[in-house]
Amino acid sequence: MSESEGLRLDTLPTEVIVAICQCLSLFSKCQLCQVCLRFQLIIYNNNEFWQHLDLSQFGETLTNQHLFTILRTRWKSKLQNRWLDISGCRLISSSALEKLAETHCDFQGIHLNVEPRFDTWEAADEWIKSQFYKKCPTFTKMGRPGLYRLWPTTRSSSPQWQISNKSIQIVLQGSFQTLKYLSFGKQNLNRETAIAIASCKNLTQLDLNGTNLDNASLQDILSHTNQLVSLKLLDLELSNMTLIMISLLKNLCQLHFSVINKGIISAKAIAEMLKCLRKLDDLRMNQIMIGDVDLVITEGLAWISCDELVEDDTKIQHQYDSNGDKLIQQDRAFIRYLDLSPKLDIYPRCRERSMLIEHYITISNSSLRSLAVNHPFMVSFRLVNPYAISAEGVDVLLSVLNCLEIFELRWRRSEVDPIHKLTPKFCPKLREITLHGVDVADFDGWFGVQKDLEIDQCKNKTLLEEGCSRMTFQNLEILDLDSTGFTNSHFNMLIKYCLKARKVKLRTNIVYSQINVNNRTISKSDSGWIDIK
Amino acid sequence: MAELKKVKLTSSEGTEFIVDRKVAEKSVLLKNMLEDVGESDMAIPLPNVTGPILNKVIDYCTHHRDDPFVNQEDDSKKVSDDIDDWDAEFCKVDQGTLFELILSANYLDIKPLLDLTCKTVANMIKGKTPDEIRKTFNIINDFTPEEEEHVRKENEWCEER
Repeated sequence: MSESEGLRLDTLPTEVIVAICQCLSLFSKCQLCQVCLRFQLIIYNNNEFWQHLDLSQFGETLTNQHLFTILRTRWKSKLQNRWLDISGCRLISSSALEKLAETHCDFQGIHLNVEPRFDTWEAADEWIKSQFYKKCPTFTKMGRPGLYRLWPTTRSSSPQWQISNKSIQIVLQGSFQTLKYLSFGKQNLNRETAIAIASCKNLTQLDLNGTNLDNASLQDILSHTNQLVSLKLLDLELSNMTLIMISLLKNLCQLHFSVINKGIISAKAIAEMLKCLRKLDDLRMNQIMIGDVDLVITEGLAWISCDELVEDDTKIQHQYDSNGDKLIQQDRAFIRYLDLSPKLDIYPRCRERSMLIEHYITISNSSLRSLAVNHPFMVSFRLVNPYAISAEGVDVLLSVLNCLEIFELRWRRSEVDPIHKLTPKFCPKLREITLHGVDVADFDGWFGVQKDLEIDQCKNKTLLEEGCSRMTFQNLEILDLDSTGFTNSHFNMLIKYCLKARKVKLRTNIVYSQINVNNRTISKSDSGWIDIK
Repeated sequence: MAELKKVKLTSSEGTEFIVDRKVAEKSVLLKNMLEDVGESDMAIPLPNVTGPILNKVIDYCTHHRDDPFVNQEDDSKKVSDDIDDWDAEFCKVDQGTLFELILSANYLDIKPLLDLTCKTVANMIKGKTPDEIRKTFNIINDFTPEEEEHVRKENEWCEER
């Protein structure tokens, strides 16, 4: 048929096959190497493919035997920059890890989180994405990983996976000079292990979420690892002294931490710490029990003070562009990821009110305004149980967040006004929307259906001119709403126009009148999520 | 203006193509050659590239003539679902042509075209079992039954569930 017969995938030069494999996930590479001998040799012997070995996707079934088979066949002795992620691989034993440390040292990265890491799964290819949607606790249990605590009505059938401290220390001893990336989420670590971690002076990423380390141990670690770029300290009780240690990490871009004890830690101390962290672009505070979060936002994260600003978004733009004399500090990075979620407990058994909220965070419109002025390039913004903000304040912020991809707002259901600016016009890139206790003024506007009334409300003339092309959230994948304003016809439009939609959760009962729009199948799972394929 | 200069290229069967220098310079190989040779009306022979393929390659380079030059050493993960519409349409060709395009992009050193064509092939591999991959690309299974069982065992940890 083609004049180039004889040219087949398996006869292409090795360099080209390698280039193709670079576009494939681990899963696909492992399928391809079973096709023929040549592919097997090329893939097995390419060090680059195996340097960074992320096995956490296979956590449920990966045994010691499997691990050693992979390492025997694919980890050559000369392999540089080894990186192993066995987060959530709960069949891997401590002794296997010690054995591993005997034959392999000089690791660059080791990840031993008790739970699989879901944050890295989002960007990857279709197969990994399907695993993410299948297994991520957001969809299988009651909420986002690392935040919502399941009330212990159901005892988990398998005991938690714990690697012994001794084994961890042995692994660290063999690699302390080379380690850059280290994760121990939810492993129960002791003082000796903390000292071993402190000896890894080249660390740039460290995840100690929920490791039970005390402040003395944390300070030991932080005083030695001054090159850290990413630091995760969720579910740990920090002291003001530890915050001061953190504030000395000048390269820090990502900081996740808990603010549990109001008596020990103050909003002022957090603000002072954040002022020092000028490169920070990803901040997550959870379990917030300090009083005044406003202080943290308007002082700690701001570079422009906006006390005198009125609530008018056009003015905000203007001030942002021209203002020089109100600078609080210079050279502050833009925050791109911000997550403010207090502690939540969830009672899975109570169907009617499945979520019981423990407490609220005191945050007002002045924080939202400060964020709008200072950090207009936010990609992800999660705000849970704010106490003193209004729909208007949210709208001011939304109107400038044109880069927003993830938006979560959980509000106490009360008599707050609906929000207007959560539309494809203002936030065109949204791929995940979670709204609880919040109403949206115009769901029709999400799908480009425009009525005269709504256009009036938006006070935006350009919307009229663009009325002919259908404006919708092109990238929307995840939608979690409890608003009753989202009707059957909205759901149908979602299926029809938002072609990337994968997971939808709605309070209202949607009747599947059109199961097969655009050849997409819709099914409802036990967890209440509707799957769209 | 040097930008407007034309360059002559000859395909393997001797067909001559005249293109803008700027288009030809999408190929790092040609760019280096042109810099070495300087001003010349001599046609550059490309014995490894057939006329129809060279035609496609020129199409691609013309469409992307104004794209910024991308840094070769960006480590960022290659995601294969970010192919735009024009590129996707460009890659709707039979397998033989697609592989020839890959070889030409590799030979002429046109990184974005090599990336695009490799991603296209990767998309054809994704989500398939070894058997389905063999069928799709007409590849003969040259493992002995023992070897096949062996390699299957070595990869059983990553079976679809």
